[in-house]
Amino acid sequence: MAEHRPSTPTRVATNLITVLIVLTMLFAAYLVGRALVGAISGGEEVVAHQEVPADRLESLPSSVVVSREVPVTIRIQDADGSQLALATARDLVVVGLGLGLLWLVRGLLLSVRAGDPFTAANVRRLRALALLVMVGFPLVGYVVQLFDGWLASSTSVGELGSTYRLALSGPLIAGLGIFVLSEVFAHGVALREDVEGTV
Amino acid sequence: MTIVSEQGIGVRLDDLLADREMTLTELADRVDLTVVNLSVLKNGRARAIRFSTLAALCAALDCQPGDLLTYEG
Repeated sequence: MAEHRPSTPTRVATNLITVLIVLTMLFAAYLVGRALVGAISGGEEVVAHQEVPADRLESLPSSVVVSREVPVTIRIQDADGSQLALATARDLVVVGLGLGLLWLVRGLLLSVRAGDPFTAANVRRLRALALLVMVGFPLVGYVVQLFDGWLASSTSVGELGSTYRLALSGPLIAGLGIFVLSEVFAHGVALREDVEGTV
Repeated sequence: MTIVSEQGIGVRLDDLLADREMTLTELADRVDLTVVNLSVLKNGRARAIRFSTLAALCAALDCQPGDLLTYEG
């Protein structure tokens, strides 16, 4: 039997994912380090994202109509320990989701590189990816909004917008697509088992 | 010795090899199958056999399919 040679795109993608994982972990370490340094010596700036309702925008002429919330960024200079902790926790939640996704995709790519993608492990990875996308994305988005609200409330500006939205449709459709792919892989595993037993 | 697979198919490869004084490796070379695959068949772990493989085995062992495979129920 001929030895399996992974394609160049597969090798490139696997190496890229590995680099992204390392960079993400370094970024997480940087976030924690920055929070610790800031808590000890002060002077660190953090940001809180808010969406301001149109009726709070007073300086626009009457001919200008703002039909939806306007995204703004509150810059918190010289953040205190609790503000640093909130900002770091908010960012780490996003980093955690990203790391989870990257790790699962890396596992898939490594199996493709080894020439053996139709395995029960990959079916589990794809189902986990589907769940992470369908549930993880909206949940993390909501948690980020919560943290931003708490951060904004800790400033003299206060919380500007109180609308917390769950973005469902995009992650739901993407997650369903990945779940369908996992079922295709499950069928592939069954076919592979049949072929393996054929002489 | 007949090895019976989980589907109830008996494989008499051991007996045929002994009668013809042939080793599994020699047979593998003649039928262009790996020794691993032939072992899978010999030990009753195969789920299916291609007609091309069956024909090659019968030619190499000078036998009929019924000499090589039996149904044990």
